[in-house]
Amino acid sequence: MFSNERKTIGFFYRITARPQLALSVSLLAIALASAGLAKLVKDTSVKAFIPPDHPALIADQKAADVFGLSDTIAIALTTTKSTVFESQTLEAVVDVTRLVSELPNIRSDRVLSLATESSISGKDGEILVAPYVGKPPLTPREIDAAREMWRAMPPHIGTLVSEDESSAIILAEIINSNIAAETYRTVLEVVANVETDNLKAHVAGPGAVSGYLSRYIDQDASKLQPLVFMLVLGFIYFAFRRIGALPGPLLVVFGAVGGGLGLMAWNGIPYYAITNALPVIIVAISVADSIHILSAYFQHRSQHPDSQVRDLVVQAMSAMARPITLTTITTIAGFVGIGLVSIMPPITAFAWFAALGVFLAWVFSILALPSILILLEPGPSPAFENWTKRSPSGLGQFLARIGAFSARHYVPVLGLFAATTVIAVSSAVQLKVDRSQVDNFASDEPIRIADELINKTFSGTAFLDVVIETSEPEGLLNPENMRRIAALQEHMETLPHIQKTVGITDYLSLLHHSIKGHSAGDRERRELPAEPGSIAQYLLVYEMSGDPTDFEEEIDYDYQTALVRGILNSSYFSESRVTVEALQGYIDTRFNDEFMSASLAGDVSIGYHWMSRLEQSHFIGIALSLVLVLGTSVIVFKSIVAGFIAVVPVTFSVTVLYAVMGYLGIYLEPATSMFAAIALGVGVDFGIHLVERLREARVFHANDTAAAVDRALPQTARACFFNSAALGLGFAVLLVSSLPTLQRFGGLVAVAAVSSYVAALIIVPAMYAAEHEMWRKLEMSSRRIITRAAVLLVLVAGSLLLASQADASEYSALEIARHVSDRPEGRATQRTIDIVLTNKRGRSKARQALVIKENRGDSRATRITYTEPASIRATSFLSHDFHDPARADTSWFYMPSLRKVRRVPASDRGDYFLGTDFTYEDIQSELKFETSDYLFHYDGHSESDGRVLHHLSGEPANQRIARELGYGSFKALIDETTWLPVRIEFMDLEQQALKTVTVSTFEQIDGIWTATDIRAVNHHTGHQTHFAFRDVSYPSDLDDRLFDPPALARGLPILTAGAPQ
Amino acid sequence: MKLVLTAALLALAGQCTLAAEARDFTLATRLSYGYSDVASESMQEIVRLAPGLRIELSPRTQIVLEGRVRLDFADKLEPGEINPETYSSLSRPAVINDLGTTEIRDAYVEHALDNGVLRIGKQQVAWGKLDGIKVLDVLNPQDFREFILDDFSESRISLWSAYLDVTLAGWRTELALIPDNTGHAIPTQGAWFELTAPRYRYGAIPGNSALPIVTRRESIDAGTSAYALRLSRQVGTFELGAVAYSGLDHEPLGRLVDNAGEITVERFYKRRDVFGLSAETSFGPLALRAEVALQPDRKFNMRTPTTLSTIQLDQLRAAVGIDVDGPWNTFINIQYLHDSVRNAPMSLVRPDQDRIVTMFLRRNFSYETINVIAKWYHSIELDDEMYSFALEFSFADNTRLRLAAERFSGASHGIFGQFADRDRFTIGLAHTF
Repeated sequence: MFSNERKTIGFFYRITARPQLALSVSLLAIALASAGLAKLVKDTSVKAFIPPDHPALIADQKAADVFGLSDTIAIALTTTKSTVFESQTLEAVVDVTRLVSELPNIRSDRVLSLATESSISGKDGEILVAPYVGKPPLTPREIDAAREMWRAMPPHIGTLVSEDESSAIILAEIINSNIAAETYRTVLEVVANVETDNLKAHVAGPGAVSGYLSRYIDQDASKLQPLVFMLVLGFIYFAFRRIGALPGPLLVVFGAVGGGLGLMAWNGIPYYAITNALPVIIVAISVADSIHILSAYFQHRSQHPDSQVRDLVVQAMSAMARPITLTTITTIAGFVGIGLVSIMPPITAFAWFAALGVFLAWVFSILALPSILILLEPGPSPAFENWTKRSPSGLGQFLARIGAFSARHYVPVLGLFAATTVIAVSSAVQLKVDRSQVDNFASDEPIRIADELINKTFSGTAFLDVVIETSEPEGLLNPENMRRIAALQEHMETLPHIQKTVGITDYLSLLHHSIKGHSAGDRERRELPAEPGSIAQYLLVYEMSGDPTDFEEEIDYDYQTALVRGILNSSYFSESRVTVEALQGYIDTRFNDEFMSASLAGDVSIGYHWMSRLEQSHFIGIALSLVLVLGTSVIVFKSIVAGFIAVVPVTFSVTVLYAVMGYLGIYLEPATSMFAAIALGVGVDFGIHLVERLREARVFHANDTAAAVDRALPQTARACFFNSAALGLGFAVLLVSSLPTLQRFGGLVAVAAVSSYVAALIIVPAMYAAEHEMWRKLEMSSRRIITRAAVLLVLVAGSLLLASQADASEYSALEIARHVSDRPEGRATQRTIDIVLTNKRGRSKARQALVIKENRGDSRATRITYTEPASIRATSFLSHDFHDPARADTSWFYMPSLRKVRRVPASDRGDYFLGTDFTYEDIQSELKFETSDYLFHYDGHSESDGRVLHHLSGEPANQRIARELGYGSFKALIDETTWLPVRIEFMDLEQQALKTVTVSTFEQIDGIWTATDIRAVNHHTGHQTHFAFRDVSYPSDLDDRLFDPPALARGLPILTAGAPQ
Repeated sequence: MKLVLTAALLALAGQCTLAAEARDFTLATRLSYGYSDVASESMQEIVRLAPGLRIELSPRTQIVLEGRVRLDFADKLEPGEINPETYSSLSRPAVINDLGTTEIRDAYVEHALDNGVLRIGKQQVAWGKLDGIKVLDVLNPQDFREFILDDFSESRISLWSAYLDVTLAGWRTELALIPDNTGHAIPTQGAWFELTAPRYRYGAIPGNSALPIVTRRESIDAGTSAYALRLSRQVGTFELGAVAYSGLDHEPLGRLVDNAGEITVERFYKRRDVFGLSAETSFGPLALRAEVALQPDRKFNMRTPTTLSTIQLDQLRAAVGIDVDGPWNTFINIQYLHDSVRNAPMSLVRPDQDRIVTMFLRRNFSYETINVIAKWYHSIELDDEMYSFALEFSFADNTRLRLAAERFSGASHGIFGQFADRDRFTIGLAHTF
């Protein structure tokens, strides 16, 4: 994207032409996107983690719809006395039940406690349905009666009152989970009024958890976000020690966070619990771009104190545009890996909007940051004083020395890393997938204490529901079906962690015993009537004695659907999964048939399904992220080796962190599962920056990796150090979150960010050194001979050169280059080229083409139309190459067989032109040297056939240009009469002979010196290209329409002879 | 009629100048052999000759002629005779026994204007920007003898037409008038690439016997011509275009006809209107193109167990494509097509939605002497696909050897899956004299 430095520079000059406008547009865009924040809604429920169309959620929703179930707040009243069946506790139960029922977000008809439930008993075949307690005050006799009734009601033992009678519970269903926080707060106020020294209240349950989480989110948001902003600002100040350095990153951060979250809100995506980490992550990542840009700016500022700020900013931006673009792409790739694989809406939303935030950070870094710098004109940074002497900072030198040490001792370094990796992998396999909603809270939080207490004293707070449905209405009135449900309950109660099950069979059994007049000793658990019609009769009898709505949570009005609730004493996935899987197996193999079927619902079932999915998909997601990051790296470097080296450090770092998690027992759960993919995305940035810099530097240090690291790495290593520190600190901010899960997540990514940097600093130089050594050994034998010959040649050439330099010419290198560059080429030219391509075996292919070219005010248009051979006749290529670097060159291709003109990607200057040995730059430049591309050297002159030949050599002005051109250097003989090169030897980036171009004939046509015979020999491939020009003319102009893309399809150009210039 | 038109063209051209000069005579030849490992038999042994001649009447006016003789000794691709009824009498190829066909591919007079070109005669007008996907490339019908495996330039059927292409004030304006009512050439029963998916057999299930299909030439309204207009302009780095076409729908509809107690499906043709937009640009190593076409009230078949009727529905086809000039001399093209019929009833013969992804990967070796090409076509709806690999070796200026393998997979009612037993390996040698 930023392959052409001239284009990049032009681009940044354009966008900084009106900095106020750029800034205003940026601020307006941020304001518009951020306006969406007003629409932000929260969703803290467990169900948010599973897609709305998932079967488990559909079954759960059905249970909620049919039986009116919703999230419950559980209030346990625990007495220090021997039993809750005493006046103070029972009256407290009655009071709390009444007060809670009156709260606005509580379903008054769905509050269960000893104060609302009734017992079923019988005497002489008569059913007695009686409430446990009436209105206070309660007499001792009433209290004793309540205790006896409760003891005769198995469904209420362990549910309404704990088996040891130490606690009574009030279960209240909430109406709207989104305002559970407020309800939770008011419930706490209600229970506070009844607490005494002897009586303590504990509030837990899914509704309370939702409320608590919601409150946490608010607390976290108000705590974390300012903190991370302050930290980052302080950090940037520390890095650059200039107030003027702060506004730019601040705007980038606001743009990325405000834009990302604002667009999320505009799209109606809720703010989930884990979304709290999103702003922190975006801030931490987005500030990295600013650090790199500011580092480059202050470095240039120190080196060129007299330069215009705009020039400095443009230089800094053009130097950093490519690396920050690459790192942005890889970071986005990491998030995309999560987004593609996860089915959990909160995680998917997190991934995509984090990717969007990173992208916005890049946009504002590229478009707005330079404008702010120009407007504020920050002065030289004290932190970059060393650069005034072109000397890197002490920190940079120190870091580079670490890398150089690693390069020099790559064998033990890589050996150590390999050994560590093996150990890490063996430890990482112990990693466990687990989760419980209460893990969102610290161990000393009241809600966690309450949850643990209720699980311990009551049957539990985790529900695994079974929704049973018959094929026809009133199917449940069949005693056989009821017997099967009872058998299902019996089986459930044998499963691990299920403490109790409650269903309609429990009540029918009670009715049966009561009607049959069974004594307590004769009563068999869940004994049911066998006679047809008896179930209907029992229920009719009950309706005459009790409230007809008493069973609405157990059976529907059509007697077609029933709910059996299993109560578990653990909500941990690792513990409940065996229960869920065993129960599902029983249902599938022994329960479901064509008449009756069952499906699982409830929080435990939902948690099981999405955690199973997480378990299955996590490593697929990581692999995908890794592949995306690796693929992106390979593509941007156009090198498998470089892409691989860039990715190895962060992969190592993530593997080690998995090992640490496995060792410390930190399990994988939704939040921690994201750490690896995010770490891959952000951690690879260091590898990319270092590889990018090192690749360039190695070219100029003859592949001596240690030397390249020593001299070229300080600035990059320093910038990466501050980058990793900013990331680490940014993520470390999550450690102060109220949510332990976010603490774990933040801690892991922070460690990954820092360790990825350290690993990159050590591994990248070591791997490059190893790679070079490997190739060196492979090629040593063949190169030895070549090297010796080359040394001899250099000695001879050097002595000749010294001799010629003694006879110094009056020309300087730049003057000669300018003569060549300014050589007239006419406003327009037309010619026929005979092209002969010859491979190393001597086989030739011939082409003939008509070439027309026109130099316009703003561009150079070139059209090439093949006329021979017949198989490619009329195939045409057209390019418009703009002088303004900010304008992208455009190219078209026409193939007669396709019968359409096709826009094609513009080629890089160094790409080879249509199967020849000439590059696009060679063809376009007419064998001139762009003076801004090279640093020229004058190597003297010689004479041949009476012509003065100047020896000009050059090397690309910087590594980027070298890469673009594909040349490491050149040596040319320039004819002083024509200023045409008669011979050019190009070296590749490794300074090996690449190709030799020879101009054997030239003539003056229309007053312009024209090469008419050019030959190029590629020394790598042995391939040759011969261009012979004929029918050359320089008309005063050509019809502009010949250079319109549609003209390619209109056949061979009709050329009218224009007057020569 | 065809001879009369050709003669008239030649006479007209002849009048322009007596100094006509024959130039650029070419004879493109191609031998290709195909083998199916599924059927364990040779399925094509083709000799194709394409003589071409350009006659320059004046610097601005020329006649372009190209014919094609195609002989297939295996006679599997197109067993028996072609169905002449799908062609207009003007464009119908001549049949050479069972062996093959001969036809005029191009026969037009071209006159270069100051700002464009005028062509009259038999020709192809290709307006689509995409590769292997037709969204706006709707002016010429297609020969499905080799399904979509042949180059479009080979399978696109030339039509007698007039075409004007001029650029006025930066607007490129292209007009086409096409009196030639030729429809798609659809392989007959028993052909190697016979279209057996229900959507092409009016709802008949693959493997089940379908009603006999007949095409009635007279069912095409011969008096109907097609008109097409394309406007395009360069806007910044984008080339934007708009297309309007009104003319024959080359895809035939079907209706049940009772011929003395024998029920047959009779193919017939209707008009259609197409309105479309296209955009193309490039930046850096990428070129992007997009096309969208709205076909309001296009007629489609509906099938019930006893009826085959038509219904008018809006159809929207949109496609995007990206070219990537990748590393290591690779060229990658990825495209996505979304085709939907709005408010489609359940009984619609074709699916209400098609989503197709295509990928093309090419790498050149040895200075473009060797090309390696991989293609992948995937239909998302039915998860069926086609992929092919080809190796091309240009060992002389005008000579090219091509080895290719094609593989289909997926459900038999899918666009590609219908050919699941039609994998083939081909070897071809092309030389142009």
